[in-house]
Amino acid sequence: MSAVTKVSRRSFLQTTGLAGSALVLGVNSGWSLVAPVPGLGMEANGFEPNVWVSIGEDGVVRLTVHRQELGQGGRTACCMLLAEELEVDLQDVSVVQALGDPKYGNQSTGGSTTVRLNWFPLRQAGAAAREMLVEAAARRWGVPATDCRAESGTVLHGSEKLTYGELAAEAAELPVPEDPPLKDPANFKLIGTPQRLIDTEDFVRGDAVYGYDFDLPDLLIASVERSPVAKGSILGYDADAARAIRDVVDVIELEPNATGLTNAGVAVLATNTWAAMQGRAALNVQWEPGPLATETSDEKRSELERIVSEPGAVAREVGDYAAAAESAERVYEAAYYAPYAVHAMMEPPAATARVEGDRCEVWSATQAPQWTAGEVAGALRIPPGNVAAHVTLVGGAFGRKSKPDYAVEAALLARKAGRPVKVLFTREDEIRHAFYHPESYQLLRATLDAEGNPTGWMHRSAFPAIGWTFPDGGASPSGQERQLGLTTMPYRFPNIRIEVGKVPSSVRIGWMRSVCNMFHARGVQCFMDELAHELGRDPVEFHMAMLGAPRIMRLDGSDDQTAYDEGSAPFPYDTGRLKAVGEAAADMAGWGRTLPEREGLGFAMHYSFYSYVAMVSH
Amino acid sequence: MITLLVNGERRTVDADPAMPLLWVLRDLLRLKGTKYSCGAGLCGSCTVHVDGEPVRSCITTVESVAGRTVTTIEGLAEGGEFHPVQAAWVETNTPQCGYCQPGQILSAVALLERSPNPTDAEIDEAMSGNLCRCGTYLRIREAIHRAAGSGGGAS
Repeated sequence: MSAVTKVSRRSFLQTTGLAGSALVLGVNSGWSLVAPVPGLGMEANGFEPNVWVSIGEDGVVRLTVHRQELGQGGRTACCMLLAEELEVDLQDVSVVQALGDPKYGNQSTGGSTTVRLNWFPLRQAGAAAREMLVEAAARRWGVPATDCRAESGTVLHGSEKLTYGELAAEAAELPVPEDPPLKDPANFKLIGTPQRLIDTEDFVRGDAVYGYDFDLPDLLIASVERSPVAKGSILGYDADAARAIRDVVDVIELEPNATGLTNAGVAVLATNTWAAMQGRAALNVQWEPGPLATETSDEKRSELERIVSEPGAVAREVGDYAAAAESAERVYEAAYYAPYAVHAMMEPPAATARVEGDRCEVWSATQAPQWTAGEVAGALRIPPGNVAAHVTLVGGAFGRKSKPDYAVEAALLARKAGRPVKVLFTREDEIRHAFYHPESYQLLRATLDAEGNPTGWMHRSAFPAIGWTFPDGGASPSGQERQLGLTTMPYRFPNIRIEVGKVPSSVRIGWMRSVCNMFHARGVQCFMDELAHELGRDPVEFHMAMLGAPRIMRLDGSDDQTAYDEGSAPFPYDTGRLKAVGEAAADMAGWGRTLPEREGLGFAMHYSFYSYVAMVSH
Repeated sequence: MITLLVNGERRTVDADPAMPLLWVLRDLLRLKGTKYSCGAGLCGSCTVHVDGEPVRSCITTVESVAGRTVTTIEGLAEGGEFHPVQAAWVETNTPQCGYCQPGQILSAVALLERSPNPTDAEIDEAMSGNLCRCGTYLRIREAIHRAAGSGGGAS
């Protein structure tokens, strides 16, 4: 699954520029994470180190975090995994934020993967270093390593004590243990305990540097008027009016990116944000909106309704739903539509770029520094290795900041301007130029026999698949998208038919939060609730009855199914846990209590990315 | 030239008089702790104090605050010691992504100055103009109670 390797100090220094590190370990993650980003060669780097541990002779433990902090606590969690096994106190761990680089494996911070996929590798890195430090101390003392123990950055033997800093140089001479023992979870001191985020003091002091805040000498701020319709083109604009605004320095036209990541635009560059915005307002750009301008939300919705009115591709089948429908006493039906949705993170997209010759540095609030590097290199037509993609703190992301469109714009503008440029999206830009969560339509039917027993479940889900995001896209919903709450429907209807429809999209779509779980959970859970009411049953009782005896489910109901494209699932989907979580939530909310007129409780439960969730709303 | 007193220092800026205070602070004075988010006075991320009162700096022109006292997140700590509200924020581990928190903290400081021991309802009312997309509202409420010394749960 993963292996820890020792890295020469020289190589480490070349990589990170950190001095004074005596013991340095790298970790390989053998797991592929969510879908590899095309074109970056990320599929084939299994043996390059991707996480770095170093212990200086000053005793400072440095961890290079290759995932991004988006407000989910990922940076802190990575430190906790390491510190737990290494036996150091969390406040003694120093964090270095990694640049985007294929050597780290997939750095894309999404899909709830940061803890899940680093759970073993980071713990093994900490454990390997701990074992080497203990062995170094044991040799120094001439005692068996098994008589020594590590605690709070020291190794102890009776009353004798050596710090990690004192041992680091000797430990670095030892072979890396191949299979270092991991701690028994019963002995965890950090994992499973509430810890303060490592960035908290910076946050409350106002010192935290987000993409919007990043600064360089000689920096220009760019505000970009982009085509109001995807794939539109520029007819004309008034550059002189923009240049007449105080503090405006330049007006630069942006061509659409060949990959479809960016649209045509006109950028106004100024020495301050206000001037850039004022200059942009003066541009008065005229657009040729192109063929997509005639699409309307109503038409898109009608198209979805038409698609779900016909059978789709079968995603899961149990028994014979058609026969159940044929013999049903009645069929209960409901449909749930959701429009395109926008991320609206507090910090709109922001990226800074500096281009010197055929090299570029970018600093962006991003979930995907590797994709950023690849797209920037492509746009500038320079080798990907010539792009250093730095990551700032990120003021909320929710999937939007997986897309490096703003970094590409910054890089193109910095090259043309001959100065560093920071592209700042306004709030309006963020809403208008998003990669939207797809619209969706969920049609559900339940067949009921004469006694009111449910006999069949039919769910037809239609939404533009994430494949439309990519230049070679245009796919039906993928296996992973189907596993996000559609095929994972846990209720034991005797006959089940689940289908997906293929929906074309000319609207730019992207990931958002739990991705397809959002509309699938809504459809399945609202339908279960409506069905309970239709049958005159208590909703929680109905959910639990239909869940039946606890069982392990495969995510699509078939044999040998991998989970979320990650290989064999290490954590099985256990409906018993779902039931326990649902019952706990109902219990905590006082389900069944008497409420005043026109008040009520609503119940829902769902399985998403290995987590079991239940909610009661009042 | 416009002069204002920012975090106890006299600062003179050469700016378009219509430039919002937000951009004067961020771009001309390089005080980046005050955040842009909506640009329309709707979300509270850009909250600063002008003469002790919370204002939305994204819709406040620099001209309108000429000669007045401005306090930003950077000016809240005194002598390296956190303001009690900042300390409470740390103790309760309130921030997640952190982006809206400077504005939240300045709104909370203003609340506690006029109501030293607010109820949950007063807190919710006073803080309703500060949005947090991570959803830290319950911890913000707890932090304000903690800063007030009321231990939380007042209602």
